[in-house]
Amino acid sequence: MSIALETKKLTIQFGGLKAVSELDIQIPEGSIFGLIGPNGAGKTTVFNMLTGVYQPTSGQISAFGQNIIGFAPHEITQKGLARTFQNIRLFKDLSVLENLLIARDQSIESKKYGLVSSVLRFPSVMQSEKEKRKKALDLLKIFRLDHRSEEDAKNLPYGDQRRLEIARAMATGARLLLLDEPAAGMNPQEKNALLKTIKFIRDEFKITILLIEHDMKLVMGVCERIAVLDYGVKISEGTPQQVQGDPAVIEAYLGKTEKKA
Amino acid sequence: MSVLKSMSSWLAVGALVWILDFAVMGQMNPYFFSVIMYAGINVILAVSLNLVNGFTGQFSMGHAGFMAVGAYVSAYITTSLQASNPELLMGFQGQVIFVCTLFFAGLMAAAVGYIVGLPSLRLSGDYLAIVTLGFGEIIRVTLLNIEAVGGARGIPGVPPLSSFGWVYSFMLFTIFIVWRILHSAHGRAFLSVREDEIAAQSMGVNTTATKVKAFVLASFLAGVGGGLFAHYLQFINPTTFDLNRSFEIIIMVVMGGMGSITGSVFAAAFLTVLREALRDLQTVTHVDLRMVIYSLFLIILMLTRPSGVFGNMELPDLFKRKKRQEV
Repeated sequence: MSIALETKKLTIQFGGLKAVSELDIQIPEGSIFGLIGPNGAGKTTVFNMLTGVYQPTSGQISAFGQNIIGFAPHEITQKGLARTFQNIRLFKDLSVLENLLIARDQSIESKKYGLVSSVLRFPSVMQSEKEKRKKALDLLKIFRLDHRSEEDAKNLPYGDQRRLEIARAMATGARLLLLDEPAAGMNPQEKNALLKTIKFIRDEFKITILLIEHDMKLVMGVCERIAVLDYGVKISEGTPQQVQGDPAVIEAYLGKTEKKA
Repeated sequence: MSVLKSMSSWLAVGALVWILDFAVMGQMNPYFFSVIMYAGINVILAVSLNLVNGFTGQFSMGHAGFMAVGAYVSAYITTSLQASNPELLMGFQGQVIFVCTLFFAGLMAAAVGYIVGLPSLRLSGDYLAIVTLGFGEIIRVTLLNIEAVGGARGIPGVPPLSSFGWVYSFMLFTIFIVWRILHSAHGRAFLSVREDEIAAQSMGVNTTATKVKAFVLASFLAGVGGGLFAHYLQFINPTTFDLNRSFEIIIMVVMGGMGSITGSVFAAAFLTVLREALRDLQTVTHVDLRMVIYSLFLIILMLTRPSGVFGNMELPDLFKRKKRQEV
């Protein structure tokens, strides 16, 4: 199976602090990969490097066999990586549908048109708009948000907002979805529903998912492989069962057990 | 064909403008007429500024600068033509030359907008406001020091080519293209930058290019507005385009509602008329209270409706809402 995302010796330094140090991960295409670790372990920093927000100090990142270091965030999105945010970042005053359309407009799958065409509304422009709309509505249906398509994003309940953010990332035409704590602040029912959604979109769209999560139950339930970060260093990697049993992971999360005298 | 069909209502209003121009405007009281003309020009300026300040969320305070570029470029061209071969500006030919001049003036303003926008749009919020304010002043002071365009004396004797027809046609043109662009992928990109720049970026929107696009477009329209202004007033000098002018346009945008074309149109027309209407008060009170009342009005409005009269609603939205309530 081919590799969707690979990092080699990925390192970033903020002044004297090495936030992430020599991280190696390999995510096979079509898998759900979890990146976990205690607070401040550097998980979101890794995300920010993958999406072009931070430039790594050294190391390599390649997505679908292509180098993605040195590209601006919007260029990386156009290469097929899309993310969600730990603290939801929707376009709050725009409708649910517009949120998706904005992402769809930029997708490499959509036909682009210039300013003059948008003023004159050539038939090709209308055609492109119609296709984008249809695709957006289809996605909303999958995420069970189609009945709220005209509502302002800010008026959705919390769980729906999280789902909308994932739908919006999907609308970019992403082949690799990066989810930053998608279950943060959700209640158990919402979490269960989210779990199903994540599995469903992977199966339905054959995409790869990298997920950062605090909630152990969610990670164990959905991920096929997990990497554990602590102080910017990968301390363990493997299947959920392997990671769960790894003493290094238990130590990182719960602290060292005192040795008996 | 479908392109023309979708524009039919716009073209119809355009035709109406010219019918009015020929039928009514000649007989009108010159004073009322001048208020109508300034209202039209102010609508162009307010709607174009709203593109940057309201829809893209980038606070620019230098709009008068781009207006000045358009006014000076077009006035310079037509006054030179007037001096060398005046028969060129007569009749139909003159009208064609005037419109071409306006477009050229708009393009020059857009070019200046690009040069100003590229470095300054990396900033945001207060910093951007200060930088654009600075650039607006730079443009004005530069014009003040170019002897070829009259320096502080400005350009007198600009040919009176701005007719009601042209001012209102260009006003319609401005509203039309801003409306159409806002309801396209480009417009949605503008809105996404206003809503959340980081999210916009990670959805694939090139935020810098988007901001520059909005800025250049607004500069173009301001340049056209400036050209119309110069050819109506028939005299321009650098003081015409000082900070006060920029603020005047900002006030219109804020009052109408940042992010509402309808609001900008309404506010620009209303404020232009209000300031003139208050003149009559002076004959009663013998004190010029115009600016006091004008300012008080704005303060009260901002206290009671901080998002402007229309917020981010447009005229069609208001009808839609009414319908929904009826059902």
